[in-house]
Amino acid sequence: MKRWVASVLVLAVGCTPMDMERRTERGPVLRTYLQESQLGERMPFARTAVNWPQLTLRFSTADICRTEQHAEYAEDIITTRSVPGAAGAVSSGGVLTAVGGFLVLGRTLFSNSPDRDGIDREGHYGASSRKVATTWGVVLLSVGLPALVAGIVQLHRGGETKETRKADEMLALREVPCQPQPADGVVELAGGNGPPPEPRATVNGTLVLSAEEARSLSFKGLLLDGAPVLLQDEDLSRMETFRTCAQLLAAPVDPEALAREAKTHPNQLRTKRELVRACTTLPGAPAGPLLEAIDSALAGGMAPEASPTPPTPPTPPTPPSGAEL
Amino acid sequence: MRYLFILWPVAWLTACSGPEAPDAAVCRDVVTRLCQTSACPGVAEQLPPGLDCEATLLERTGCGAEEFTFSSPSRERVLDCREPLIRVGTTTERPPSCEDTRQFLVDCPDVTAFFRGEEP
Repeated sequence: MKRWVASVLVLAVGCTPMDMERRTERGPVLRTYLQESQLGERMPFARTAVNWPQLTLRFSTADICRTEQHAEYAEDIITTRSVPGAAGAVSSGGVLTAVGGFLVLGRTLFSNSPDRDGIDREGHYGASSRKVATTWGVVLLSVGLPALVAGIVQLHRGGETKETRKADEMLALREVPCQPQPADGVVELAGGNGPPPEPRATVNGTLVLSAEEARSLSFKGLLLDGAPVLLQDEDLSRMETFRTCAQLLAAPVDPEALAREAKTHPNQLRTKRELVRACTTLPGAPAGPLLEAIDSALAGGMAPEASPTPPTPPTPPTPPSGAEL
Repeated sequence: MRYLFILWPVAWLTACSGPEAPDAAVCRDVVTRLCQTSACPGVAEQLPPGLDCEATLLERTGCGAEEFTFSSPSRERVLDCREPLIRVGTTTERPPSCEDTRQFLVDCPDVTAFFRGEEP
């Protein structure tokens, strides 16, 4: 019988809703490691090289190698369970149980003679003090004991548990062309104004453009057998510089014209100077005479001013970048 | 239904009572209450109390003796008729109202006749 009552109490308490709060705390880093993989999709790339007055484009196909840097760290999942009112139930239940228990156990301390001061409507005397105390004791016990047990069980069910597990986080991602192989095909210079130039076939994976061709041809990107060719920032910048220098270095140096320009459009001439200065980075490019003439014109034409910001060739956003059509 | 569960201790407490009072005690209780209101208008006419009300009524009814028992009217009848007299309280420290006593006399002429010393 006692076990049955206890089971009923525990089941009743088990239905009490609990507040549960879960939070995650990051622990120390256990290790870092690199994970390398290949995407398995070969794409055409081109590298550029300049030997003035020629721009050499070397075509290749390469896979994309992805390198991921990971950090493995410990992660604590902390779950806090609580029952609002459990402490109050223990407190009030404890007081009621104590008083009720005292009345029941100490009932012999009370008189057993009935209350003869009054007769109720059924013709009975009033209850004796012992009977009143016993009744009150049982009532208080029946109210206080379940509250006490419920509160204790709820307090026992509450608390904090911590579960530790491993977690992984990717810190950095890098994708670069890898395992290149020379590729031959038909190159289209596309994306320019007017009718597109005639397609050209590569020889040993190479296409050579002269400065004169670069000056006369209008194009923005390259296609190899119809597929967009990717160029890295460095190669794209070198090709754009070559095309710019092909324009700037084509005309003969005219000091008088430069002197006039230094007077009428000095800022424009300074910009031009920066472009010519970039040509000196191309091996073999005869940029020296023009650069000296511009410097002389600027020195004789007017007082020096702050040099303008050099023009920057177009740079695609992420490697591997390229003039993708 | 849940309120019944909550109120059962209260119901148990109110049902708490002592042993059955003997007929003589019940009879003396009624005599005491009637005499407490003997000065009320209409009561003395219905229930001549004499000079000493309680002594007179106890002598008439015979319930001054401990071995007294009700026969006619019965104990149950007296308890039913007594209800207006205990409307204020079950102890004799709180006397009934004149109206309650007049209701007793009107509703229960057989019990009134018993306390007048007549055969009901």
